[in-house]
Amino acid sequence: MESIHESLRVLGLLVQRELYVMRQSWRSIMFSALVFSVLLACASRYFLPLMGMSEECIIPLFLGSFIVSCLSIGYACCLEVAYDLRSPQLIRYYSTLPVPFGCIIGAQVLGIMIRIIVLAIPVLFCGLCIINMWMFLHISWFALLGMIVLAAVFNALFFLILAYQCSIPVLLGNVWPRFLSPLFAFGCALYPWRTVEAHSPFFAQVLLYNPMTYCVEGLRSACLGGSAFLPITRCMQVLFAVNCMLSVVLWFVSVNAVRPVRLKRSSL
Amino acid sequence: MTGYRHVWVLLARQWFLVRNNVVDNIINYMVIWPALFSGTSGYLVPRAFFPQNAVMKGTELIVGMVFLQFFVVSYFAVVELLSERDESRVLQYHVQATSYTATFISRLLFYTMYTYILVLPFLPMCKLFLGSYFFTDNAQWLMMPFVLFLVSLTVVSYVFCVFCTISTIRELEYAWAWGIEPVLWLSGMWAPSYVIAQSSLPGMNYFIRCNPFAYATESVRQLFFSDVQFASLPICCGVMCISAALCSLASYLLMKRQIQAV
Repeated sequence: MESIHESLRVLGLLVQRELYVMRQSWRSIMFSALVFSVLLACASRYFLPLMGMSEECIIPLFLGSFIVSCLSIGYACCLEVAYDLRSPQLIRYYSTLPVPFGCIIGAQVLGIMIRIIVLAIPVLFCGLCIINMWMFLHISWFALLGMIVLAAVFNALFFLILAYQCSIPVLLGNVWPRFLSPLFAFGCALYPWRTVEAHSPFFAQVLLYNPMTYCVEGLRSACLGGSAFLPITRCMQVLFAVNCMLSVVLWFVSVNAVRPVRLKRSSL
Repeated sequence: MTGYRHVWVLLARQWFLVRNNVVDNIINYMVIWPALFSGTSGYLVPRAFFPQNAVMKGTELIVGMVFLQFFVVSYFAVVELLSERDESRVLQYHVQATSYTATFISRLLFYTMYTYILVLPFLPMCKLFLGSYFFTDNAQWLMMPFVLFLVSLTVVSYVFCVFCTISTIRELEYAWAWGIEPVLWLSGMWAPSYVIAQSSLPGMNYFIRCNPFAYATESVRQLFFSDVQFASLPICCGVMCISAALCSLASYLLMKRQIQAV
């Protein structure tokens, strides 16, 4: 009982440290995300309808592309963690703390989740204010809350795996074009999944293997309701399963990063 | 004569620095990105949002995307300049060893050519991926290298100018957010200029007319559509030449001041 209490105390302190780091860098991250969101909202609301896009598509397009803001926030956190790991070797110091290693990783996941939620929600709200089409929104608050948490956990786990696994030059150079851009482009961010299914059922099936599809479609489903998007329950189930899988991957990757010698010995 | 030699030597040095990344960049910008943009902006997005006129709208979207490519490639190329100025201070060393003008011209020329070469195959690759979904019946392929070079020069000189206004490498994030992102969206990267001008946002009509980057996107769209709704090529090329010259001059003076301040 004592050790659980102690672990929770350390977890709280580590999350506090993450929030302290966030206070140092939130302005630039928030500013970038806000500028993107405002411009995207303007394009969706004022420009694309003049090209022939129907009004019903404005909010789904905005909500989908809003995921880029979440990706860029997650990427900024990922770079911070990666620098922490390489330069001051912070993770090695953490691993000497008298708490289970899972507690340390949990604090990092929680820290990134909080950052994504705290920075992304105002950006989303600001974009929706510019679009100003509240009559189309049929928000299911419980589903939206669940989706936000699941999507934030997915982002946090995914970016932590990248931070532990990739070197800084790879993170700065190849991660966007080779991992994040395909994830975004073929994650239904710029188009609803049902429209792809109507034109190309095979390609629509391929898109279902991308977890980003469930983040985006779940968010649309929770905000807009109806049958035009993937069902919210399915999105939540898949994201939950993906998050469990990513947690296991993160565990192995982080242990490997901190204790490479021990792992090599045990594998011999 | 010595000045030319200095420029050549500095150009060779720049090539020496980037040559290890060439394969990575070719894969990223000549294969992966054209495939991604062809799949999304060229095929899926127009089918989802403009089902009546998907091929034409898809072509309008994908042609504008070349502008994003120019900015992304030049941004990541020119970032090196900031670290050379603020961290390793190689730039100051080059200015002392050669001359400021030779250093500046070699950098501008190199980044322009580098960006140009990496972006030049974007549209042909998109055509390869999209086939008949990419409308090229009226395309002027022979004019394309010339127009894209001018776009490259305009974009790189502007990115130079933006980077010269920031004092430390920590302000990079802001530079993209205030200096590049608005230019991308409000110059026709997605929606063409005639659409932005018609929008109900106040002042957009005048803004588009005065925005030199709108002429850059117009020129590329004109290459593919040869339509009166886009500005004519001679006007676009003239505006791009003038804006490239002005941005180059501004960045020349700004950078000189920053280096002297150091």
